[in-house]
Amino acid sequence: MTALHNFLIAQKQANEAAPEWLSSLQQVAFSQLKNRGLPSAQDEEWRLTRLAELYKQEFRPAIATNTLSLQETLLTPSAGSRIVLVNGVLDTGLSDSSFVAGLSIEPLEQAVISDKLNLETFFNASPPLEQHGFLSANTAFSKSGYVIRISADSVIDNPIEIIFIANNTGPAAWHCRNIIVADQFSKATIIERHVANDTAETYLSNCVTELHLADGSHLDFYKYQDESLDAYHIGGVYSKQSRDSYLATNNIALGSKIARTDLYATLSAEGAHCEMNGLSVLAGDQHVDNCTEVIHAKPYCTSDEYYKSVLDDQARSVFRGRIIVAKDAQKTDANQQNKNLLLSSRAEADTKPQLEIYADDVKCAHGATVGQLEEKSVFYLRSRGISETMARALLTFAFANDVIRRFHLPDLQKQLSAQLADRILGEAASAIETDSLFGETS
Amino acid sequence: MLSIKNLKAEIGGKEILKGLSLEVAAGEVHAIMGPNGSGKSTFANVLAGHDGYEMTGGSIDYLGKDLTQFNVEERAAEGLFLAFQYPVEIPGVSNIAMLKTAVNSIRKYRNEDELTAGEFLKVINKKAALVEMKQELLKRSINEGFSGGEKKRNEILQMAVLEPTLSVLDETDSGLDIDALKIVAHGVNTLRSPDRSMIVITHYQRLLDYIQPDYVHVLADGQIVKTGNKNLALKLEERGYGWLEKQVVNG
Repeated sequence: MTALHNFLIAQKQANEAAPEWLSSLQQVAFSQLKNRGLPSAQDEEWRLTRLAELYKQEFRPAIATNTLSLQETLLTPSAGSRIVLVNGVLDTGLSDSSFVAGLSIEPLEQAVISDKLNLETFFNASPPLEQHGFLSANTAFSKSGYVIRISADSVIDNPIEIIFIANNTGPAAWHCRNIIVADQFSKATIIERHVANDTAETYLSNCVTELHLADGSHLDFYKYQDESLDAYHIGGVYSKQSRDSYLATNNIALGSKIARTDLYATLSAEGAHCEMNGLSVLAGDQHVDNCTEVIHAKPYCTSDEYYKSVLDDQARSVFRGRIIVAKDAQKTDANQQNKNLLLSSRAEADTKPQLEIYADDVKCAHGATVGQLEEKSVFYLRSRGISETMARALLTFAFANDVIRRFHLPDLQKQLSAQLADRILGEAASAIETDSLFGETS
Repeated sequence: MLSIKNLKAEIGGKEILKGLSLEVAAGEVHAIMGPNGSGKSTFANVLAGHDGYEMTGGSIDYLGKDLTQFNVEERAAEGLFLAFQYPVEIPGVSNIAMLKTAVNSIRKYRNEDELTAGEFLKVINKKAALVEMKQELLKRSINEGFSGGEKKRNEILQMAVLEPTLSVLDETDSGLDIDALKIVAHGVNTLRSPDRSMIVITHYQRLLDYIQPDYVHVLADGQIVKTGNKNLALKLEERGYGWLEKQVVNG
């Protein structure tokens, strides 16, 4: 038994307010966690992510915090609705959920009681049946999070922003469960930001988001993570798509000690399309593990997965890209690319494409690369008078920015491009306008 | 302007240039022709300072300076430009951002004030018109999704913006249809001036119908084996390179 496992088991407490369906769901999840424990190095899906340090941590339950000490930069002005959770606890003062037609936003604790959404139908319905310890813990202990429903035919213009801020004193852990339901022909953009105040100490954020897309709905989802270098982020984005729905999950990981995210996309009716974009830019001893799975359950669905990582120092990335094409999922068109750029000889990238195809009339393309900058590109830029250092920085920026270009939100693209330019190009970034830096796609 | 004496260079231990000598005066256009494997691209890369090629002998004097003391980017800042045979694609950085970085890097090297965004835009818009480059291609990632002709026009655009003293065009004509070739040639001809020299490397005589060279050199087996005027190119078109290679063997 590890310290973390003991801590989690000790969390067991009756959730008085929970309706019966939730209590029994949490009971089952708790038993699973107790019996099976947390993933170990023997688990194939976890063996490349060393969790020993995390398991040794002596966490305490998170408590709400004085938000006056938060850096202003964590809360950029937003035009749309916003929910802020500090240490996994809803902060009503910082949140803004004023009325928007067609949009319902509720904190999880409130949503399970009001049950306007018939939450029972959606809660834990998108993850796979076989669930690892962290997911069980999330189900068993999540008391907070957000629940969003976009009602049928509603188009929500402004992005909805959810900000998770860590501001803990002493090691702390929290579990949030978020549920997004997009009804028929609705359209929305949702941005999850995971950030940390400068003073935050070691923490574990175990954060699971479920996306349920009804027929013809359109959801553009961003998970942006720029946390403390002492942070452990274990998360999941589990989606289930109905007929002709469109989903993009954009996963940007820039900070934390270890970030593991499970992204499972189930295309459960004809004509559904799923786009998965991922970018990790890491240095020091940072570690990112993206465990992805696209399940083509029905015919005529398309998926396009594009994951990249830029690794400096001894940073490490792990990518698993599993595509499952069910027996009757004919005319599937699935694409998967994973590209990793190593900037240091000590950096490491592990990439595991896994294709399981049971149908015979499908198109599945995949590619994986691990390498350095192309010397011919460096030479090309240098031959134009650009110094070698700058040429390498520009090419590194270009490699990463290539993912940002796939996003659909121009304001966010600009902001992320500028942030990347600042991080990768440093002072040189100011010599070039970031606006013009941004290479448009053909 | 450029004085090359007995230049020898190898790649991976294999000698490619075996004593190449060439004199280029200011304002002159020199064409270098030769069969595959004769060392044309090696010559272009060695001039530009590519690390992959090792210069094992001879000298390159450029405007009274030893060119070999400069690295790749310094050569560019000293006024040398190489138009690539195969321009690289760089998804994620726009053409215009790269060009602005290049222009200002060079200006900095020369202790000139860097151009502001507005000043730079004026320059680039004028030059883009020269090679009929659409605005949208300027904003696009470097060469990404460009046709063969667009890539080569982009090379000439870069040359026009960087205003080099010596340009080396490495098979800029290969892969171009006649319309693209005319646009490229028009760009090159417009950039001809009494203080700008050009070395045009080509496999085909066709380009020389549009860019009239002062001299034509034949490169074979790492050496210049014959020099003449544009009539030499016509003769090569007619008879191929075989007769010259034989001369080398016999001679």
